[in-house]
Amino acid sequence: MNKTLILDDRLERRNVLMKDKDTVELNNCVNKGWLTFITELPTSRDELEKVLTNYSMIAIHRSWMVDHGVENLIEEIIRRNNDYYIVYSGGISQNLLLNGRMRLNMNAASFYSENLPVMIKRYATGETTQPLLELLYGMSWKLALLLEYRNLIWLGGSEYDYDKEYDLRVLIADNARIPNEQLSLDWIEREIQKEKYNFTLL
Amino acid sequence: MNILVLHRDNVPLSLRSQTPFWESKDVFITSHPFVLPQTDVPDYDTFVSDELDKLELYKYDLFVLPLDLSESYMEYTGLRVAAHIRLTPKWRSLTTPILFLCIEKVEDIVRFASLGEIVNSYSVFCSSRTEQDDLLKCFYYIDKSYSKTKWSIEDFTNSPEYQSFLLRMRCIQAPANYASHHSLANEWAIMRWNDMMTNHISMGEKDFTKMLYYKYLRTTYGNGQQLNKWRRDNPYIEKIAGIDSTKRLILIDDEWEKGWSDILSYIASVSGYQFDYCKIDKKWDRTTLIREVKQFVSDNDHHTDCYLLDLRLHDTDFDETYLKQNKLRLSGYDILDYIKSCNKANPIIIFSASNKVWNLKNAVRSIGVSSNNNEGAIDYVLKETPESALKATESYKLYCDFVNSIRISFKLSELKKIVVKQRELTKISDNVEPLNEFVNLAILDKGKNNNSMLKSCLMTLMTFVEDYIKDRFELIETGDKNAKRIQLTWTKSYSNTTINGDVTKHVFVKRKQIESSSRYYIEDSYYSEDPTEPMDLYGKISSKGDIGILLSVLYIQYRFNDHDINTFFLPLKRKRNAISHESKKISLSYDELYDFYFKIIVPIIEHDNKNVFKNKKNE
Repeated sequence: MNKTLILDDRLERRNVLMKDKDTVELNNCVNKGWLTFITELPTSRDELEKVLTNYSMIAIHRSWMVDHGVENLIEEIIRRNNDYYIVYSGGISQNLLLNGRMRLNMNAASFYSENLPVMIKRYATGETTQPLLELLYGMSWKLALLLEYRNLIWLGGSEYDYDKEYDLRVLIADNARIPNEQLSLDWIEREIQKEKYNFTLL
Repeated sequence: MNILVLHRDNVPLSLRSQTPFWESKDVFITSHPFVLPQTDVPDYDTFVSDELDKLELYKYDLFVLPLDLSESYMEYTGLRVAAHIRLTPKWRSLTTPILFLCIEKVEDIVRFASLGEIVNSYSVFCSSRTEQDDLLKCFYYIDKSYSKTKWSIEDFTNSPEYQSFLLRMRCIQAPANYASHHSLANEWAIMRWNDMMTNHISMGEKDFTKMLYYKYLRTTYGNGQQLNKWRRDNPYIEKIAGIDSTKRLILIDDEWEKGWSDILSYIASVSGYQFDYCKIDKKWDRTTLIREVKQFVSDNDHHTDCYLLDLRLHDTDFDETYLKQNKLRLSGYDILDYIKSCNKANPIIIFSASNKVWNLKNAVRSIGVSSNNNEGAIDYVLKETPESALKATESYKLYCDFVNSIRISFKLSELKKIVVKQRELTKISDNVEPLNEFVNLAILDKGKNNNSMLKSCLMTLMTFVEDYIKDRFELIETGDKNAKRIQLTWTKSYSNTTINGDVTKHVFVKRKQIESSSRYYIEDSYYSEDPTEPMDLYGKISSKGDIGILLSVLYIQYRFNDHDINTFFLPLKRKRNAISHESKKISLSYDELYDFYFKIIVPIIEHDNKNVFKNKKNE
């Protein structure tokens, strides 16, 4: 089971930003053991590592890290363990995926959205391979991949494949209508990586 | 043609470096990789602002960029960068054309991206062509049609094209903490006040000034040119003149560190009064916050003359459902109650930016002293919010409101001393309760010098003194009534002690005969304001209801000097005038009433309760 850890030193933040029904959902995640909520973490390397290794997705409020001067240490540990890492704060103006979709910088209001309990559940039960995209875009996460892929093949220039682009255009147009489950995009991540590789070589 | 290309290696190779092809066409490409650091990732708006700051954007005729400048395409960070360029006048590139290289159609961009509307605004283009010749045609067309030299910045910001762009940018979202903590409003108000100061406080470029939302608000509502125009005809914010240096202002605001403590400290230092603030920690839970702030008030109240109080001090104050479910009110009200319980005369100015609190303005102003004497504030000062779109003159008026409230509060803080003294007097005497009415009336008046209120205050004090003395002293007339000088003796009736004193040293009476009556009425002046003036005593001082008793007792029993007697006598004359001319405005100030209280009433009570007073002190 993939477990998620959320550190928020101000519990009221969640109460203010999250709707009641989503809070109930989030509490269900806690009850099922998928999620742990804490307000403090140890700040020494050994103890910190000991706690963090129990989780494969870690979300921490930025102010807490800044106040305790452990930003770099936490990032180093999480990177080494190859865990998903979410840094959230009210002061973050633009949500950003980083480090090959392993890290997400997110505004606190976006973080405490209805997408959070859904993502935690799907991540814990192994139903998603793109948890951070799902947290960020909710039901539209596949659209994000389609748009990215189309942009990459367009950037390819002379090797531009109009048929492929047409297929993508249809998929993008249909995205809202086709249920996520029916739209299989198992191939797309591989293709995106291939295009990125090709394009860098151009 | 100078072109700046911003990218993260996601534009055609030909645009990532200067090539002979471009040079031969008189096109000069400057390629700037726009890549976020992978560690120590800054906030994106801060990163964009800092990066573009370095690039001397005014040198370029065209900006070319992709829709995405970050790892995930759907973040559309290219649009955000373009919005920064359009909303930052100091870069002098508001009119420089922007070309997006993308496969997406304009309608898809508008549909998928929150800032998508920017592609529909003036001199913004999209091209899906990546071949050099196609790009060149595009560059020439843009250069010919949209030369930035067409506009001055002032003309452009006032143009319908730019106004239309601003309308399209209404979708720019306030970051979460700003929605919940109204801190942008704080920062906005601070900036506006700082803009208007004679000497700007060096606040540096705070992070919030790099935020796109702030830039949008500043461009839309806080146009620098508006401010400069206003400055030509209006005064700068100056110090608050004439404030006593012993006065002390306290700020209680969870956003103190956003700049309020700096700017209020500056205003205090130039105006010559003292200033301090409660260092509220954002991490405190609600109970801790209320406890800590109360402790701060308790430690500081004895030397505080005015509180500047925000009503929303905690996150939960923004959650109406939470407050309702837990039957709570805004945390600031708990603090307001506590401040009033420390001293009901404590002047409090509600200082808030919240529109909801704005609705309370009239309510707050109308509250004076409630039945339990624990509520009420002196005034309400609105922290300007950017969304309120105030003109500079209106901002200035808010500052004037603040100055006015501070002045009144500092003046009213004198009442605090009376409340403290009343507490002391209550411990030694059972008779001082009626004086509380004077304090309550003065608090209710809130420094407005309302004539009826002043009259009522005066009546309360006078009646107290008159009743107090008449209850205890009785005048027994002796001596020759026809003589110029008469000896008066009175009995301190409640203790059956007789005290002799020569009133004529101090009191004179002018007589006025009324018709056939042989009785003389005290008519005009009772008291010689010039001690060297010969006494002129002609008539009889009637024994009941007469001022002679009062003056005599004050002089001889309580040994007041002429100066102190004046603080009683002059208001007394005005009181009698006011009674005989009911509608006449009374010429009186609270300062005179405070003098009356401290110089006459307090010494009388303390004199008569010397022993109790001493014992209490010893205790």
